[in-house]
Amino acid sequence: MEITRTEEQAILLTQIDPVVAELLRRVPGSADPSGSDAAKRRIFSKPTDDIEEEEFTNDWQEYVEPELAKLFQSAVEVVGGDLKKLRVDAISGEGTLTIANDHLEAWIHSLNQARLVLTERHKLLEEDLERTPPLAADPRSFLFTQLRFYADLQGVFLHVLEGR
Amino acid sequence: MTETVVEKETKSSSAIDVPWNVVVHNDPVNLTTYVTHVFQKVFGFTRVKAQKHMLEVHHLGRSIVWTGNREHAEAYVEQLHGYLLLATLEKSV
Repeated sequence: MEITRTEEQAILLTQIDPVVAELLRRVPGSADPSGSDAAKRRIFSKPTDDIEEEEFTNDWQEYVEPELAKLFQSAVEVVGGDLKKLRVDAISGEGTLTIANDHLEAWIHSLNQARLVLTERHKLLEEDLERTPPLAADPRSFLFTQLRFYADLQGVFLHVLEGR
Repeated sequence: MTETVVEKETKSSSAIDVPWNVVVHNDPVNLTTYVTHVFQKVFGFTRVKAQKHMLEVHHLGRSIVWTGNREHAEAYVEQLHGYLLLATLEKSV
């Protein structure tokens, strides 16, 4: 896959092979913490560890977390909308995707959320994340590839966003 | 009677006004470059200051990124949660 800046305030992803296209399409679903209490706890973490602040924590869950959920959902929807425009060449099988610069924050957020959710959902440890390259014999090797790809893409998008 | 009531309110107000820390905790998933970016964005830190706090989080497990009144501390924690950082508020004293 190649990533280039365009003159229209966007970045262009070209030569997207079918595996990478599938990894991209999986971003919104991977960012969804449904069905995993651990993932939900990580995405909506406590605002304080102070046991005397129980009322504040309860208020936070009631009033702040729904707003955060909307914020997260809107970022994932931006990514989902962009992915609908992923074009695949019928002959080469390679895809092309244009992402507007003002969508980069949403992509960075969603890639981050996907990595957090996947890590919690699959109960990965810090040493699992640091093992590169992942062991081919490990049944989770596709998951590690997915996590590594999302981290790399997040890093590239951050680089572009910061104008470096 | 009125003076007594005022005195009680003053004490209560003083208790609320203790400084609060905004603390960011280490997380093995969040990228160091991402954490630095968020600190710059939320607090307006220079890149150097943001990196200093990021390294504190990374090596020491936590960093106090801001100290001040409760209301602002809550708002900062909310913003940091919006970026999916592990952030909490705690009394400074």
